Amino acid sequence: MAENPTTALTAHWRLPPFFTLQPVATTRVEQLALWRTLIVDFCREQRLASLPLDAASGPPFANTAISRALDAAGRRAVADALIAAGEAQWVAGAAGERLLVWWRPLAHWADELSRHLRSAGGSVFTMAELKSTDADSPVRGCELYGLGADLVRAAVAELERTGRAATFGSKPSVAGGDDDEVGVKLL
Amino acid sequence: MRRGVGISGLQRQQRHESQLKKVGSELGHQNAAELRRQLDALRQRIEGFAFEHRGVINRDPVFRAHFNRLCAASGVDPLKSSKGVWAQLLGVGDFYYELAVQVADVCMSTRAQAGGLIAVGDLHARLGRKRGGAGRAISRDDVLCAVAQLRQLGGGYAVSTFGGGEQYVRCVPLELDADHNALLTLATPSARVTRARLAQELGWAAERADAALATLLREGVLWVDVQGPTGEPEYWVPCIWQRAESCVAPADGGQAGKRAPRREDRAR
Repeated sequence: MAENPTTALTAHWRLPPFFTLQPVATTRVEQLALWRTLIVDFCREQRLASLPLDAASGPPFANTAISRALDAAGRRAVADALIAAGEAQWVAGAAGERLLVWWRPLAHWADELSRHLRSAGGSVFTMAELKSTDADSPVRGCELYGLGADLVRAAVAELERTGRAATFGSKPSVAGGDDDEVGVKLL
Repeated sequence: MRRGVGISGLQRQQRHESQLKKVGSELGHQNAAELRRQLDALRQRIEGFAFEHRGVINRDPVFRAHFNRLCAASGVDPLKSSKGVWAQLLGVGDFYYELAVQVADVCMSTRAQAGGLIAVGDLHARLGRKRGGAGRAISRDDVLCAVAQLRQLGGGYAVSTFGGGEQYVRCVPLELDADHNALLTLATPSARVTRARLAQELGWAAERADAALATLLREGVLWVDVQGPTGEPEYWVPCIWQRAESCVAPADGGQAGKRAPRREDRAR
């Protein structure tokens, strides 16, 4: 994660009380709306598909220059606000820990993945291949490439949900577990 | 018997009074007509002047301010007559309506951070950026005129002064009493205030400080920070902080000291 200030970290990111969850309801609503914009812009700018909620030592949740950090309750409130606005969702199996932030909608990622795999040829892949960042990865050149396993899993799940793909093989017993051996077939 | 008593006397008296009235009202009509004629002439002169100089009026904020003052002094208000000859002639009424809409827009968009208070200077700068091109430059007076127009619409728009005479536009239906003003004035240099300072510097008892803090917190004018160096809650005034911040870096809102690494970042 970049240590340099970014344009997504706007003026209020330097305002100390921005990092204290405001006790007054209306102010908190406004504060969380500012946080939502900041998080989505930050993730877009840094090309972060998922954001760990426990990383509170640097941007976006902490500003070391002013010695302020949003505490766990505050980060959770921001996450809940993002989810309620449809701008994020928990990573499957990591609820409360990692957040997929939709600076592009999930449908876009699913479309991209499906389009790319079809144009690359082939219709059956393993999750290991789709998550791979190797030079010969079938997703190389796709917009998803290099954005992390969380996003690939979410995109595959979306394709499955919308009837455009089916998964088979040894699925992990817990969501988010080792799914390298899972097969994905485009329909 | 005294003269004038009796029916004929009364009649004569009535006739006399009605004649007096008639003469009086004729004189009044003449005076009113004369005044109206003079006012019309004055208005025509101002209109002629305005038409002749409309380019400058629209373009030059200082000239516009002088012109507005002249109009106000002569009882002609170009702002209020947007439907009349002024708008057709100048678009001056429209000018302020347009500006008022932009003022409302800026107030709304900064409300989350500023709690509905914004320094006039800050508002002026933001409007300048929003409007872009130099062709329609605006002055502080123009901003205040536009706020005055918004005020007529209700919605809590008004101008307050505290903290070293700096003017702030309020865009929440918020009444600032003497305590609130004292608190905000105390907060002005550092954009924040604590209970301890309210007690030390204003001699306020805890209840009094709590009451003022509670109101301003509720209105979103104050934001609380509990991570300050002393651990005591610090009450920040975002609109005052914002003003100081925008003085440091008017262009992009970034702090001057933080820009250097960003430039390196781009170069890399």
